[in-house]
Amino acid sequence: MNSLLKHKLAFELTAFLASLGFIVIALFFIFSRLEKDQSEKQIITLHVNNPSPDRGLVPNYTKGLSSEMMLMSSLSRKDQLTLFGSSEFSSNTNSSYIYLPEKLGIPAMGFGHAFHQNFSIYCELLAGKEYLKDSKIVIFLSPGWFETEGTNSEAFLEFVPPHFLEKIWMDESISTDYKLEIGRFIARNAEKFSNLTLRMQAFKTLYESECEFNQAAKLRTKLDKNYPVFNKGNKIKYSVEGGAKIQHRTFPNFRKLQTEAQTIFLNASANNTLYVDSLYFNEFVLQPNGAIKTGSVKPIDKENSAEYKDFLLLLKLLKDKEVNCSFVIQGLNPYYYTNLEEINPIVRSIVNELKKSEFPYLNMFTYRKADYQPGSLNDIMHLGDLGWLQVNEFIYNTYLR
Amino acid sequence: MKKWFYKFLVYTTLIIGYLFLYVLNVEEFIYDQKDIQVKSTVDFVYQQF
Amino acid sequence: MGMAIVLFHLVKRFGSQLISYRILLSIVTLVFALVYLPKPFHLIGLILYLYACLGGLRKWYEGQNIIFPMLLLALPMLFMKYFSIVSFTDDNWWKNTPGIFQITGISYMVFRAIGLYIDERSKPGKINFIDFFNFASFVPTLLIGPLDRFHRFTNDVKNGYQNMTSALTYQGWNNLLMGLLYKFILAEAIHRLVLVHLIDDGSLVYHMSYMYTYLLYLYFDFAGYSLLAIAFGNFIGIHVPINFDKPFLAVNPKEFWKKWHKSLGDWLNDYFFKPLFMHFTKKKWGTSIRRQNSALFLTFALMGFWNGFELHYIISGMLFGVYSVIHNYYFYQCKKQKRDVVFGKLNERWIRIISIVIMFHAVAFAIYIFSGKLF
Repeated sequence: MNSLLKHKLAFELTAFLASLGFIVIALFFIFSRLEKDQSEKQIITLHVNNPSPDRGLVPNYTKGLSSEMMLMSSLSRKDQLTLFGSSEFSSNTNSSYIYLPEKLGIPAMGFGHAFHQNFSIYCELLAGKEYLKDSKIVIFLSPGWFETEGTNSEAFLEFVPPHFLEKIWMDESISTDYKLEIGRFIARNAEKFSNLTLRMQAFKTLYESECEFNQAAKLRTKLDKNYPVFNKGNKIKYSVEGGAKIQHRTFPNFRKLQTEAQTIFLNASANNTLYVDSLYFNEFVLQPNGAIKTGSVKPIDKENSAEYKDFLLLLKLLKDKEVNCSFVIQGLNPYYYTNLEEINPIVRSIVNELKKSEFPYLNMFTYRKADYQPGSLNDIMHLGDLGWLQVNEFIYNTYLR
Repeated sequence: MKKWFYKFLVYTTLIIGYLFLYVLNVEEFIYDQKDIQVKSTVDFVYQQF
Repeated sequence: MGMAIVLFHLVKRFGSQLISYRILLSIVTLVFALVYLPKPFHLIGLILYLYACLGGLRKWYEGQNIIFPMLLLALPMLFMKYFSIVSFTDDNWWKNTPGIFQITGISYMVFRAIGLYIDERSKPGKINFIDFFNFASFVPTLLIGPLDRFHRFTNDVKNGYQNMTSALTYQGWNNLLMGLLYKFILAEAIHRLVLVHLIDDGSLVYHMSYMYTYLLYLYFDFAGYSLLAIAFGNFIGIHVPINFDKPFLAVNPKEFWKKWHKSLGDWLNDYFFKPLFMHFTKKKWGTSIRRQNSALFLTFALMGFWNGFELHYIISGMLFGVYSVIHNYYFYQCKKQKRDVVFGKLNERWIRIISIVIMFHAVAFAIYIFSGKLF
């Protein structure tokens, strides 16, 4: 090595080491004066004036604190059922969150609309973690969920509002493993958000520090853990109120009601042999040229299904928190869909997992036309009156018998 | 000496810049995040079919 | 990139007799394109097209007019620019056509090919494909330059392994440090801490704040990237030309384009302005000053179109053209009247300071239009 090169190397090295030394000394001086105790974090109590209802449907949490409070109150009330579902939730009078309170005196609230899937439910339950033990929860799973690429970014924003994320982040009793899953979701979908809030960024950094080669994220996570000044935020508590108790009323003759509902439906679907409502048939199934539209499903590989992984994650949380949870696996119309046997394997996997976890379930899916009960669906995928009554009977038997 | 000090400044700015921008995300300490609105960049349209 | 640099040094040390520098460079470039680029086969297709055109033009085209060869070589780029402003909504067989032309670095590759054609057209013999491939697709400068010259680049490649000296490596290290500082610290800080937080209330204050901030951001980002490209070139023995040299100290547009995106300024000067001016002179169109100014304006208008067919790029280019025309006319009048027609007898130091301030603001405004924020 010639002397000029040696001189240049020495020049660079001394400048670099001097800079590093200067920064290390400055950081040592700064950090020695920083507060280390995280337990002094302020608790913010969230409260709304109107008492939360014991019936009805909340489509999402975009209305802010009032809708968030409805969820938390519902979870906290051991006499109230909390139902999670997606597009099947409507204003049908036999919907469980209307029928059960009004006809049977059982408080019940529904949460969700289209695109409300496993991962959103997971986050909502984590946000209400302290109320989960023995909470009565019913989750309406749709096979259609497993055809998607998991919960989408728009749904995440609707169903996991900032307060939920803040509450989960600041709750030290929630294990890092659970928080990492939220970080993973945000990291994987970062480009599908216009920007990230502080909290979303924090979850993403946590994930990157544990699961990716990202030295900056690792450093930041260490700072968050040890110094409150870097871990900005407040602990959140929802001020929930007690609600109505279960009023025992006469047990309805579900079988009679179901038979009546089916008869009414058969009349209302008389213009077709697919067992879909006549109006629906005319609008969506019958083509202008007189042909009848049919549908098909794609087989789902559970090893590569993000939604299936989310489902297993949700099961893990429910088991861990000893939730009094049950499931309704919804069906699809085998007269419309020509190849439902393709998704039977994933439905069987779901049933096996529920059995393993010992969660009660109602499986309404069948790919065989012979086994399909006309009227259980109003159209190709949404529950009809018969279907709702079957669900209500299942819920009654699970929680009140 | 002047060149050495200039190099020292370059290294210092690089390291401090890295710490501030990539480790600390310094803008979260400068700007109030309260009014930040997040939107999905993808529109998911629910379809019957 | 790091692995490629280590590979070059290892081969230089242990295998320079086995594999020539130019072959190694082409292999590394090809591997990079196949592994990291989104459309590698489109890139290879473009290179084959340009090479075929060059070969065909050198063999069969005997005209002195360079417009036809320029247009032929620029055809893929023109399609790309056109399709970036036109959308295909009908479900026809050609709806995927735009995608064919969206190739990484297409604008720079086309300009390199045009420069190569003009420089080498009077020299006999074939252009070696490996040499052309290396020149057109040199990885560090593929995306946004700097624009190099074929002869200079090929000479560097010829002396490839010998050029990989500790002195050049040290120079590369300095360029790397400055590139990292400019792009990942200064540009990043300006963008994240200032630019995105400016509130668009339509006021003059907002527009002016955005204008100056955007200019600084663009400078550090672009200059930083150029320095990184130069650094990586230096590490493997290539003397990539510098692209930015204190542009905000320029006193006039001519000097500005020798300091800001210098390689583009030089390219436009050598391959567009000079031929255009000579053409106007041959046709005896108007006075000398009028020919100069027309050629200047058209050169910068071309630059605007080269950036993209969107209005803000075109207007920005034309505005730079107007600046050059004004300065050229001022210079012409000073020469004619043997005095400074604007500053008179003002102290030279003050003239310089005032000129720098005027130039800075003029550039800031033109770049603000370029940003697309106004329209």
